[in-house]
Amino acid sequence: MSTKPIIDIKDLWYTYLRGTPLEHVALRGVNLSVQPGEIVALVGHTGSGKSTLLQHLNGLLMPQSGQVRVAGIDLHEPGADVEAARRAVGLVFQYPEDQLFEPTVGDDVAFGPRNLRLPRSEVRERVRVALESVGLGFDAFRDRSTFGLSGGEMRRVAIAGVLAMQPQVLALDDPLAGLDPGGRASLLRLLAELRDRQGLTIVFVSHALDEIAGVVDTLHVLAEGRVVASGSPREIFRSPEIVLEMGLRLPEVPALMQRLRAAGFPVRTDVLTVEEAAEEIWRTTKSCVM
Amino acid sequence: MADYEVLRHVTIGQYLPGESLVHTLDPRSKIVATIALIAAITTVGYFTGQLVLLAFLVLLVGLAGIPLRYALGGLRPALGMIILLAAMQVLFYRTYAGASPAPSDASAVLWQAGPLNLSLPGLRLAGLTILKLVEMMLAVSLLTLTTSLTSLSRAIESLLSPLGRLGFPAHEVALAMTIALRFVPTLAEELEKIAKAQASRGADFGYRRRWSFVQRVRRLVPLLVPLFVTSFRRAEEMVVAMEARCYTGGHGRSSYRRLRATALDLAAAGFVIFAAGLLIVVPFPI
Repeated sequence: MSTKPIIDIKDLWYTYLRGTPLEHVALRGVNLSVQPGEIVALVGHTGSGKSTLLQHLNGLLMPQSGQVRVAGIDLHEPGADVEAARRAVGLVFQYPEDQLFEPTVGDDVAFGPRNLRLPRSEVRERVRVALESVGLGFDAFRDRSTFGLSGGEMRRVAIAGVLAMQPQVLALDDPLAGLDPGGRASLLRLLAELRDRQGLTIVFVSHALDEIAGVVDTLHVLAEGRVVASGSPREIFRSPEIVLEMGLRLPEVPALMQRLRAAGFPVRTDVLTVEEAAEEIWRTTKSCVM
Repeated sequence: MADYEVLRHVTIGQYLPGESLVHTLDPRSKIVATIALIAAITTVGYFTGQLVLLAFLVLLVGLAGIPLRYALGGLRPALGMIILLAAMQVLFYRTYAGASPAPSDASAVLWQAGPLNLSLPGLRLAGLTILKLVEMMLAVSLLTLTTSLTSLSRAIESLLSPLGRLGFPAHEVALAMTIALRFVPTLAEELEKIAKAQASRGADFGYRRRWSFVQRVRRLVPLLVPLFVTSFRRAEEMVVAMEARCYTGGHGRSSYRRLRATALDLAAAGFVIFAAGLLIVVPFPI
């Protein structure tokens, strides 16, 4: 691609508790690059290094070896501007609703902008924009009690708290975990909207290959601290051997197409939606009959 | 730069599974031996005796197959405190024999300035203090590094059970201790995650200096409130989980693995108690 990547990671290694009997290598030479405005999903088993990788994006973990370049900041260089990286990349942890602490929603979302020492009016404006961009009305929610919200609302408030920092990249660690199917679908829609309307680059960890396939531009499959496959969901599903080898389950629709193909029907396997699958099956069976 | 992994570097309470002799001893004899060792460490007032204790502990650490550097790692956070303590003991050392504030043996004073002085007994006491702290740390780490939490708590329960006849709730105390210890790493991890999450929202922990007390306390609010909320939730979940499995308390409760002390366990504990007693009563030259 022609544009410069907003995230560029080269040969990144990271070991937890280095130098103790409990040391554990989490990343073994990760290479990854993300274009501005892309929606990227990191998939893989627990322990494959997804969360560790995510924490390198805003300098919570510093590269032990290799290069991490985020929004023009070289985090592998000594004296790198970590604070600037924290502003450029907003990181939302798993179960982010656990980090809410202010009594009211408005104050909690304002925590980030206040840390930036912005003037009151600017803080207020950012809180308004952030709450509205996660689909919660400013006037309806700013004075609500943080701990009286539903789980889904709390998660949105937590995401708004990060958006209020106005990052260029939004990184989320398993944002769909613990939500019901409706909540998952609407959160995915929200991520797509944030990209489309505000031009955010979105990187997130997920296990739900089924649901995310329609939203993401690029999938990176991680295993044992390495990126073992990258590509659009269609590319990955066209040759799903690597996904299956990693013990990940293929989404329903591509899995069905794989089985049809194995049964001797010449269908395409890089199909994402039920409609597409129906059309493809129709097309193939028609040609078979004729 | 704030190092969020620092919480995981605490070696006290950590368990390193292994197959060594120290690992396989009965946890009760290990606890009794540790108590005997600590008694000796705190009471022996001679360098020779303390060095014997230190050598014995280092030998045990080696026998357990634990890297000595790792076992001593727990001292790192306390290093500043130890140095400060030793320095104060050296500089302010006085023997308060009678009303005289002067050192007992004038010849032992090497340097004096106002209330500060440098004397041989002072240096000796500081040296002993450092040795004692290091040994204490090694003794406790050795116990927890080689004993899993469950066997530790079962041993405590078993050791306290004679008091049960006097109405002492041995099982409950052991359970409360187990739960408390069990959740130290969990809460440390939780705290690490919360600190990272708030740092992602621009909270600064450590890399911008603020000396104001109010500011520093206020900085803790975004950490403590979520930590309390999740701890309470965890506690409630645990109560439900225990009740769902019909937990009713310690009365008549049996366990899957029974502790059985062998001759070796008795011999090991007996030897340590004997040696510790010997070190306590024998007067050494220095």
